[in-house]
Amino acid sequence: MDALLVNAGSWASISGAAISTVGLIATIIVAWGARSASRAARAAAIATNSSIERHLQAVDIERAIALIQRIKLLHDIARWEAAMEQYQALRMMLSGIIARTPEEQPEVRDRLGTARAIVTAMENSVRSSIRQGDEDPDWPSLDESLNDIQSTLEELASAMGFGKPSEEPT
Amino acid sequence: MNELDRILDGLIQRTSDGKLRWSRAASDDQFATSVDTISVIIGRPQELRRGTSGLPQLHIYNEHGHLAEVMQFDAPSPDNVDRIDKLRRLHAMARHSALNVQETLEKLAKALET
Repeated sequence: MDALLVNAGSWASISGAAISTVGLIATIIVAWGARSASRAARAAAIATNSSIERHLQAVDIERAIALIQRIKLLHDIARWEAAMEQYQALRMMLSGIIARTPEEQPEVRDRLGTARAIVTAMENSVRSSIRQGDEDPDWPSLDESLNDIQSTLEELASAMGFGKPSEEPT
Repeated sequence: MNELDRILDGLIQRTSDGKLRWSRAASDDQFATSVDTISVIIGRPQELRRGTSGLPQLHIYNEHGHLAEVMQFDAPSPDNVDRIDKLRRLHAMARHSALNVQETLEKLAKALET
């Protein structure tokens, strides 16, 4: 009788251990699944965030190009004071675009940094002309610089897969 | 050798190696480039072209686009002759880089041969 009880105890222990093992495995599987779901959710969040950043970047580039067109128009009609205000706005836009450009793209960031410095040089040049009472600043030269900056922005937009931002989809 | 001398030497070296591209800035006499979004403009600003010095200036802008440092000289003196020489050299190199002078000359020479 005692032997029977001992055997029953052993079986109970064995089956208890088996049940615990199965439970543990099930817990691991559930936890693994939750971990995978958490990873997938994180990956989806990163992808969404990246997509939003790209969209905002494209919008900023488009606005910067529109501003360049406006500045060229102000040059054409010799509204230099108004143009100087817009240089400042363009510099700030370029700073925003630089801030959104990933650090893994140092060449793009440097090209944009150069573009921003060129806008500063333009502003200084126009201010100096106005102060010294020049007839007009050298606007063809200034427009040439603006065209270079516009090309840089269009290349950036194209590299992001947005094509020429100023073009309307057909 | 102080920091500005090291910067001048570094810009000359990188430009000479073709690792630094310059762009024309606002006039045919000013050129800009950037390293780690820190921008540099070298040239003779309009107001100085009328002056007697005519020496190029170097303007350094921080990563936010604000003017951080200016290297400029009124006239050459024994104390600054080395720096002025480097500034002039860098200005000439920046011009060559921005205006693709070498490629243009090679292209013209080749076209004249045919």
